[in-house]
Amino acid sequence: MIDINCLFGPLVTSEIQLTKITDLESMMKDGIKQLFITSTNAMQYDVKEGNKVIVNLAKQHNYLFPVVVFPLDIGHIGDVQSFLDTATLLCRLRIPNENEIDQQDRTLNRFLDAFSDIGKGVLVTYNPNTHGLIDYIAKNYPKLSFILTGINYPQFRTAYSLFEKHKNVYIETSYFQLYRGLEFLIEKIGADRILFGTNSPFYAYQSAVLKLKKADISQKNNQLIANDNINRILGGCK
Amino acid sequence: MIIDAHAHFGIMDGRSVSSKQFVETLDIYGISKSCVSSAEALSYCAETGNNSVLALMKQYPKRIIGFCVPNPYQQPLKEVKRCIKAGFKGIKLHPWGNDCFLSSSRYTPVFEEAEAKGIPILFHSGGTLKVPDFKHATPEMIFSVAERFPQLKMLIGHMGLERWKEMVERVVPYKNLYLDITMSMPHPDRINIAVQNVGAERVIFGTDMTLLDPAIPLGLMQGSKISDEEKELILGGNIMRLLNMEEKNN
Repeated sequence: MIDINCLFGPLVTSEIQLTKITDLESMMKDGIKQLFITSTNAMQYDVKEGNKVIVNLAKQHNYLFPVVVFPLDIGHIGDVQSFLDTATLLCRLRIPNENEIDQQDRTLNRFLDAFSDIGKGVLVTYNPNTHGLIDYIAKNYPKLSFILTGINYPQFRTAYSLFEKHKNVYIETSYFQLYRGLEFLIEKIGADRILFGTNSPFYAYQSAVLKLKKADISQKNNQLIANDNINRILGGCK
Repeated sequence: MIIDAHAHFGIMDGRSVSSKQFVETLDIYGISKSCVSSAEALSYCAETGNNSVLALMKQYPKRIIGFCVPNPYQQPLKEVKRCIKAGFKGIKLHPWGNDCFLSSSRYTPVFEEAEAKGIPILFHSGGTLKVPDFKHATPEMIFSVAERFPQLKMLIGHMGLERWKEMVERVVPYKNLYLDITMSMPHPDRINIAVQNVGAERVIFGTDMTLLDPAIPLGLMQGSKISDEEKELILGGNIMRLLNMEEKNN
């Protein structure tokens, strides 16, 4: 299994103090052989420092793949190039919570224009406020694959139209908790658009693993979700 | 033995499964028994919904434990008595779904009957993640009912949902209140924190199938940092005790 949505670093929730490398090693023992890690620091506070830590960590462990965060709230278009310099095949957009992003935002378009030539996939958190933005970028950046996180069954009701409209939109599974949920998603959008993720350490990774192991799906579809789709999107990992 | 203390049968989120599929899911996840309430009875006709669970109980008597759902606006005590006579072992209330405060006098006869007969009551708390609700079963209402009916065994469905941390702390003095872990967010430390606060004897495993997948709480249990003895209590020992069941008789 390849986890495309694993977070690493200090957390704001009081009950979880810190993710450690031993936490990631535990996941390996339970069958997750490769992890795409995003810095919690980069998602919440210091983007550059968080990205730097993650990139360096991945260099030390061959089962880790860094996901560099690109913040849409950096406020200065001149900073875009510095993020592009460290961009990885799979990046993640940090979208301010409060306001809907303007689709014509110069920072966003400057980043995605350039990233289309060097990157492959973009992780984006879905919610009703980001629906219009995802609709726009999926249409205008067809070379990129947009992988949506944060979709449970209530969110899927609104997000479904994005999957119908755009073949380059995918779902990451950690939030989707519906009974027989993977079977449901395969029926609705096809197994080739579903990617395994854990959202660890915010969520117990064991739940995501069990969900995939116990799903009543074919071996082929299991492999697509667990490994093959992300490998296809990124053109193979390390 | 794993016992699911919180499951539903009927249409959930626009989908339903057959009785055979329901039990197949129990087999897939190694769940021996399931405490089932009717989805339909939670929001529409209590009698029709409860009868669908009764049929499931008769089809799989060793696997299904019926929890009847009284509608507070449809002679709730009469329905509870009918269902208990038919073999139901517990009661499920849905104050939010039925738009009736947990503290409403409409529920009082049900509480009195349940306390007198030793029947556990599971009730929904917290609305949904998308539509939070803190009006129909507030901590104050829950604690008030627990005080008025000190022998009544009550399971707080979803542990208060978004307010689970507050619930876990405030519920400590009320020994007749139990925490049902069912929730769609598998926060890894939720069970650890619940056990630290109230003890494993008052934490109870549930899945919320056929709305949510059993993998969620089972994975959460796997990842929790509690002893095997504590896991046994949560996964089945506690609900068996509340239902006055003994393993050897099952």
